[in-house]
Formats: sequence, structure tokens, C-alpha cells
Amino acid sequence: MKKRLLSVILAGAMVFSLAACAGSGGADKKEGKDSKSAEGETVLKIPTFLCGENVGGRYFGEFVNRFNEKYAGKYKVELEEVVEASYTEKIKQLAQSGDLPVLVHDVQKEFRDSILIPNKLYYPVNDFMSEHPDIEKWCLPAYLKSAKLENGDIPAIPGMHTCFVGLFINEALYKPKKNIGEMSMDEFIKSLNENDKFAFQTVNNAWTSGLFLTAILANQKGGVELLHEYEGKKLYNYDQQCFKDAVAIFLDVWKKHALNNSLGADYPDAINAFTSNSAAFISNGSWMNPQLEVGDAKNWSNGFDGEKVSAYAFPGNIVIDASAGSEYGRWYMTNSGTEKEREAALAFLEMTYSQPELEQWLLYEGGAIPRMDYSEEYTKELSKNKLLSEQSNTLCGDVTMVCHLMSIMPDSIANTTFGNLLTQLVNDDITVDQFCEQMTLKANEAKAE
Amino acid sequence: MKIKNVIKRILTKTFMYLVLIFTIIISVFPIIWIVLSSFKTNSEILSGAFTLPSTLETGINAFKYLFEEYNFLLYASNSLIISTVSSLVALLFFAMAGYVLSKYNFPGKNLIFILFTITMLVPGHSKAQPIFALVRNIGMYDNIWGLTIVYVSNGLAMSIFILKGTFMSIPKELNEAAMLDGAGFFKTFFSINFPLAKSGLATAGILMFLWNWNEYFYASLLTVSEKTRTLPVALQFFNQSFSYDYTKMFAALTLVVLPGLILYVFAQEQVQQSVAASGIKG
Amino acid sequence: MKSKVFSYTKLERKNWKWIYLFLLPTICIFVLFYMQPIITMIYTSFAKWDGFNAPQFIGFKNYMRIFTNSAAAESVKNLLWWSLIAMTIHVAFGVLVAFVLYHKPRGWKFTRAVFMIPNVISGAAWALIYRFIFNDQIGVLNDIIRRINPDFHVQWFFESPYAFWAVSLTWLFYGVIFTLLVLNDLYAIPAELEEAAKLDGATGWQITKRIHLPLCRIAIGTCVICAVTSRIAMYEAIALTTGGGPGDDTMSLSLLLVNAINDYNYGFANSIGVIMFLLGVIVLFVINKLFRMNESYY
Repeated sequence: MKKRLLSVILAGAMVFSLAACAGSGGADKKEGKDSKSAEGETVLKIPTFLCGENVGGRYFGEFVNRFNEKYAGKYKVELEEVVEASYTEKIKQLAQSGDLPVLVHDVQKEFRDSILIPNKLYYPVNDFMSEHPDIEKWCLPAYLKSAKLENGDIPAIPGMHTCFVGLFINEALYKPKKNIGEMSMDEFIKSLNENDKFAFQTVNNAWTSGLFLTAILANQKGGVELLHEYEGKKLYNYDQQCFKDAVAIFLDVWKKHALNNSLGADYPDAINAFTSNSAAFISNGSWMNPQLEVGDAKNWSNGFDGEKVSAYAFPGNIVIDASAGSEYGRWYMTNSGTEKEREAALAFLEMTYSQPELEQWLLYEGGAIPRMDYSEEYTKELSKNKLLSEQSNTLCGDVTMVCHLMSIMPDSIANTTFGNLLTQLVNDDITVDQFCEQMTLKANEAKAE
Repeated sequence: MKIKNVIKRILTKTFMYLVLIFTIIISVFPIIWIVLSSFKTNSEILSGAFTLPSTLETGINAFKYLFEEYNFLLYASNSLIISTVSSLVALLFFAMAGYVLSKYNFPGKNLIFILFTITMLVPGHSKAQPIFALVRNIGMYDNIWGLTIVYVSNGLAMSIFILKGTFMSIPKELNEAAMLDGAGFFKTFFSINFPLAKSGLATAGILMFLWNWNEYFYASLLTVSEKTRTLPVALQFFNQSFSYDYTKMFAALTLVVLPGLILYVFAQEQVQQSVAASGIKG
Repeated sequence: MKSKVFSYTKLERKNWKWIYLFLLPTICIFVLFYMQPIITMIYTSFAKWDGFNAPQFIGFKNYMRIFTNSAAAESVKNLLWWSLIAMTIHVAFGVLVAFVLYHKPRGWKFTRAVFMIPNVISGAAWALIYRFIFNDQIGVLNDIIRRINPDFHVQWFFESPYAFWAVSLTWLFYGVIFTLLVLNDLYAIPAELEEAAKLDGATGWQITKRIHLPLCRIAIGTCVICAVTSRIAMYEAIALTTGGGPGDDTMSLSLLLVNAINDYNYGFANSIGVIMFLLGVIVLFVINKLFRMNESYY
């Protein structure tokens, strides 16, 4: 026994030391981003969370395949899969080690503001944009302006996409008498019966709750102005009257119409509440569409039928825009990388922002690119999907777009504190005034000073 | 008098059995529950806690999907290699250090012991950046051996504690006798003390292995590709993906937990034997 | 008590090259993986730092910020309560199981075979499982309670004052490490001691009290240290269940630290880290002294 134990340990140490030598002596991983495969292909390694079952991964995976096919032998994109929850940490660490990849997407706003821009880690896309005038045409004018830095550089292609986040209604449970967007919030709430339930949540960022709260806020006097003013910034003062009123109304709706699993519900619980014919309403975005299609029927229960679901703007014709990186753009090129890699990255961006690809992306993501003249193919494909066309039409109508509350809360507040305070509020442990007071207090504590 | 003794004995025995049964229930129930739930449909899961799955088909489909889309065997073997190698190497290093700290006096002994002990108090997030930079600098990013090296540093404090205590409980006389017999330092360690420390080594080894097996933070930080993925990271991927599909989520959970369980069942006989056997000292 | 030996015997000196050689690997590990982080952590705790650009020195402001933080008071209170529970019930249960197993009642082998299962499961998975177990609608616990009291409805993790206890229950009776450590020491007790005591007419309880327990002193001390420092560092058990609880009910220093990192307040986060570190050091020293862990038994 003793000899066996000893030999196992010594073997382990041997293997370990051999492997350590092999690992460091072999492929020099630091230059990994720059590696060329045997045929002289330039390999682009992109860290991403758009992979696997992630809702954005379906389009992105297919797109990367198309890119690799098109540029076979010349460029190749390899995806480095990262869990979404660890993605920002990973990008931060890479930046701190001076190892940002050539192309990086969906960076956090703080990362951009305190690290990417001040240290000039980006590679400006001014030239790229002048070479591709179409792209500039599609960008939303407000975003074109805000994306340009003081020194004239444009770090990333500005936003052009409006995302759809609205009210999904299971019309088997609640039949609206007219278009929800055309009702006022009061009208809508009054039209609810005792059994009309909302799928709310309190865990994590209280997503479905926060969205509806945003909609209520936008219907208050000064609400839309508040949301517009703080878009792209952080709100630290929650003692405004419009916010207090909104919270009071929200609490009232919760008390009467929240599904009984809402306390302690996380996002999947809310989704399941909706697809089990228990809740008639859920505030969510177009990424939920696939779960309402027949292909996902095995997750439905209690006779839920996805066909009966319609998506509307919130009362008061409010639509929430949850576009990732909308104002400043999604894709950043960085200063690292070789000449060849930069070429490859530019080709990647060119293909990403080509009309056919953008339209294909729209068919998966939903939402709209308002300044683009859609092709016939796209219009045809769009009409085949009830939810997508409804949402697209809504976006083209006379709606007010606002950002959602969680995007203007400091990160730690949005991720945990908001939900925790909400829990206390709905449990009657604190009053509406105390809720707003606490939000202001905690938000100020989260400031970087 | 005798009746009082008998009653005392019965009470003690009952109490002992209650403790055992309680421990068994709280240890085993969660596992059974996950496995059972992975065979239920979403609606069955949502309708109550104790419902039984109506057919086996749902679960089988879920498992089939997971096996086809994801390479579980790879994740499990990565976890196995990394945890085993790092724990064994660490065990050797820390046994050497623990032995020396327990038996000998030398300048700096107390300082060194204190430094080693306080390592267990450093929060993981504070070590993230230096370790990330270190691993990238030696070119071991996205490499299971890079992760292995980092894991060797896990459990330093606890293992030194345990091993120092274990070696301290081996009587000094044995060393003195060995020295009289002319044995050198190294031989004294390996031939005499090391074998007698089996139970301490086993405990420290098991603890480090379990720690590394379940480690998530550094695994997600230092690996990106599928070929270096470990089970805890795989679980996180599933959580974000399947989160609304409860069946698949539980199936993924089962698959991630299973290798550890199987390993444990096989290893525990061995380990417990050595733990028990070392109780007998000559 | 610690005697400084200024003169070493010639024999001891001879061994020194071996001693330092044996210490070398562990010292390397310490320097590589711990020294720089500790120094960085302490140094930047006095600075305002976003984790990337150069830290700006601001003196004790971060520490003052901890004192004025609204959640900090609750975190410390929770820590004290959790440590108390950990030191007593948590360790006691682990020790109890060890003693029961030592007496080898029927079924002890099976228990030994299964009781480590919870430790094989990662913290994240465990938190997820318990979120389901304690769920009001579909959880096992409430299902059982409703068979006695059909109107019972409590969402354990999300209602004050239950959240604190719900979080505690995810680890309270799972003390495998303690059981292992104590069993180690128990098995090391020479059989002769017990036999001699029995010959002298000692009862089972007296043997346990006078012989077993004292000879597990070091193991129990280790258990207490481990239990309390785990409470200081505890993160997943809270973050993945209550996220800090209703309001701040289950807030902890570790959660504050992670929140600070998410807000890019690395200096503040590191000052919390230093506090956690110091608390651990205090616990270490106190328990060490209390349990006389530097003296060996024999």
C-alpha cells in the first residue's frame, strides 16, 4: 500500500513536470492570436458568449460559418466560447494583461469609458465608414453624433438597430379590446380582471418586473424625459416624483395581478409562468419569439398555444429599446494584432454590416433597422412570422422609444440591489418612499466617486 | 441499576441511528431529486415536488441531446486529470513542508508557518488579475496544465494545517531511533514518517481534490475552448442556455454531478481502508 | 509560551539544507500565487482604482467608506451570527457524526459511503438545488409541511426573517470536512488508552469526555477555524440563492466585494478584502491560542 501510494505520487509529479515543460516549450500561446494555419490562413480569435444555446448564438454561429466559407484559405474566425456571466470579467482581464483580441464585441459601458477610450485601445473605423457609405446611411442620426469622440475618431460603427421590448399577451387568457399601445396605462390597468396575471420576477435583475416598471414610468409626467436624459448614463437619484408615482402604481399592480410565483422568481421561472398558461402578460423582447414557436412546444404546459400570443407596445405607445451597445456600437477593433489580422477584421465587419447579413440577423433577433430599405426577400420572410412582423410594424409606428431602468442603474444595483429592495417592497417590509430612498442611498454608495 | 443502564444504552443507540439516518437523508435526497426531475417534463416539474415522471422518454431525450451536442466525456476527463494531478503534486509539496514544520526548529519557522496559514484568507477575486497575467506570461492560457498549476496552489493553508498536525502526532522517538540507525534526512521522511501519515495525507488529498473538482472561477477565467472545459464551467454554460427548459437543466446537472459521484464510489473504499488501517500503530 | 531558540544544536544545523529544500516548493507557490496578490490588495486598498489605469492614492477613504456603507453594518452582523452558528451547531454536528461513526453502529459503512456526496457537488449546483427545495410552490419542504398545515405559504429565501435561516440551512448540517478531520484524530488514539480506562471501570460517556474529546483538540480547533473562515469567504451560497436577501438581510462582505468589482471600484473592493483578511487572521490567532494548537498530544 505504501509503495503504491508513493509510486502514484511520484508518477503524478513526473507527468506534471513533463506537461509543464511541454506546455511552455511548445506552441507559444501568447502569440496564439497571430497563428497561421498551414495554408497561410490568418486566424482571428474572437471571445464571445454568442454560442451554443445562447439566444444570439444561433445567428452568430451560422454567420461565422458563412464567413469562413467565403474567405476559406484567406481568413478564418475561431470563436472562444465564454459563459455570458463571466464575459465582462474575461474582457477586463484580457485588457489588463494587454491582450485584447483584434475584434471584441458588446463591451460594458464602463469598460469603454474608463479603459478602452482613455487608453486609446481602439482602432478607429473612420476610414472603414467612408469606404462604406451605406453603413453611414443606416446608422441612426442621434447615435452617429454621440459615437464620435472629441478627437474625431469613431471607435465603433454606431447603432442602427432598434430592439423591440414590449408586452406579450396570451390572447387565450386576455383579449384586448383595442391595441394596447393606444390605451393609457390607467385604462389598461382598469381593464384587468382578477385572474389576469403578470409573470414578474424578483431574482437577479428582476428583468420582467423592471421592464414593466419602466413602461409605467414612461407613462408618468416627466418619465420619458427622465429616461431620455439618463440614457447612456447612470441615475443616482430615485426620489423624483415620477419615479415614486411609478413605483406606487407598480406595487398596486403587483398586489392584485402578480402571479403567485413571482416572489423569488428568476427569468426562467417567469418564462415558464407564461408558457404554462398561468400568466397572461409578460414584458420581454423579441428574443423570446422562438420559445413561442411550435418547435418549443415540449416546454409548454396546460394547453398553452404559442400561436395565440401577440406582442404589443406598452400602453401609451411606449417601446423599450434594449439594443446592445445601441448608442456606441457593438463591434470594436482594437490596436492589437498584425496587419493581416486587421485586414481580416475589416473583412469581418464588412460582411457583418452587409445588407443581406443584417436582414438575416433581423430575422433572428427581431426589431428593426429603420433607415434601411428592406429587400423584397426580407419583407417576404418577415411576413411569414407573425410575431416578428407585428413587432416590426409596431416599431415603424408612432412609438416613443426609451431605454430601460436597469440600464441606467449602477451595475451592482441593477444586478442585485434592485431585486432585493423589490422583494422587501412587495412583502410590505418597506414603503414606496422608503424604497426610493434606499435606491438613492445604495446608488450613491455604488458611485466610483 | 441495570434497567437504568439498559435504558441509557437504548437511548444512546437510538440517538446514534437518528443521526445516521438524518445524515443519509440530507446527503442523498438532493441527488435523487435532481435525477428524478431530469425525467419529468416542464409541466410535471412545475406542478409539484413529489410528482413522478410519467414516461422515461422525456428524460432519455434530454440526455440524448446533451450527449450528442456536448462532449461530456471530454469535460469529465479534463476535470479528472486536472484535479488528480494538481492534488497529488500539491500533496507531495505540502507533506514535505508540513513534515519539516512539525519536527524541526529553524530560523524563520514561525514566520513561514504564519505566512502559509494566512493564504487561506485571501479572497479569490483579489488573486484574479495576478494569476491571469502569470498564466498568460508562461503561455499556459487555455491549457489544462495551466489550470493544473494554478490549482496546486489551492488548499495550501488547510493542507499544511492537516499535515503538520498529522506529522506532529507521529512520536519523535521514531525519528531518533532512525537516526541512531544511520538513516539520512530524506530516508527518515520517506520510509518512516510518510507511510505513518496515511490518514492525514488521505484527508488532505481528498479535500484538495474535491475543492479543485468543483472549482469554477479560475476554470472559467483561464480556459476558453471546449477542449479545455471542465465540468463546473460546462454546468454554467448549460445554466445560461437551458435555464427555461427545466428538464434539460436537471439532466445537465445530473451529468455534471455523476462523474464525481462515480469517482467517489470507486475511490472511497480505497481511501477509507487506508484511513482505517493507519489507525493501528506499531 | 513560544520559546525563541537562539542556539541550535550542531545536529539541527546539519539538517537545515534539507529543511529549506523541503520548504522550497511550497515557498515558491506562496510567492507566485499569494505574495503579489496580497501586496497588491493591501496597496490598492488605499487607492481609487478602476482595475486598469494607475491607482490614485486616497489614504483611508476606502476604509471610511466601509464604515459608512449602509449594507456593511448588516453584513458584519450577519457574519457574527453565522460565525456563531458555525462554531457551535455546524462544527458540533460534524463532530457528532464523527463520534457516531467511530463507534461503528450498524449502517456506518453506508453512511460513510454517502455522506460526502454533497461535497462532490459544486457550490453553484448546490445553491440551485436548494432554490428548488425551498421554493414555495414546487419545493419539497413546503410540500411536506402542507400535509400538516394546508395553508402554509412561505417563500423561504425571499421573506424576512426566514432568508437568513434558509441560507444557513444550505450548509449547517453538512460538515463532512469536520467529520473527516475528527475521525483522523480519533483513529490515531492508541488502543491501549481506551483499554486501560475500561479496565479502570470507566463508562462509555466518561471515555468520550475524558479521553476522546481532549485528544481531538487540534482537529476540533482546525474545524472551528475552517468553519469561521468559510463564513467570512462564503459567496455562492448567498449570491446564488438570495443575492443578499430581502433588502440587506443576508448581505455579506464577500457580496459587497463582488458588487464593488462590478462597479469598477477595485480600490474599495480590495479594502473590503483586507478587512476580510484581518478578520480571518484574528480568528486564526484566537482559536490557535484557545485550542493550544501548537502543542502536540503525545
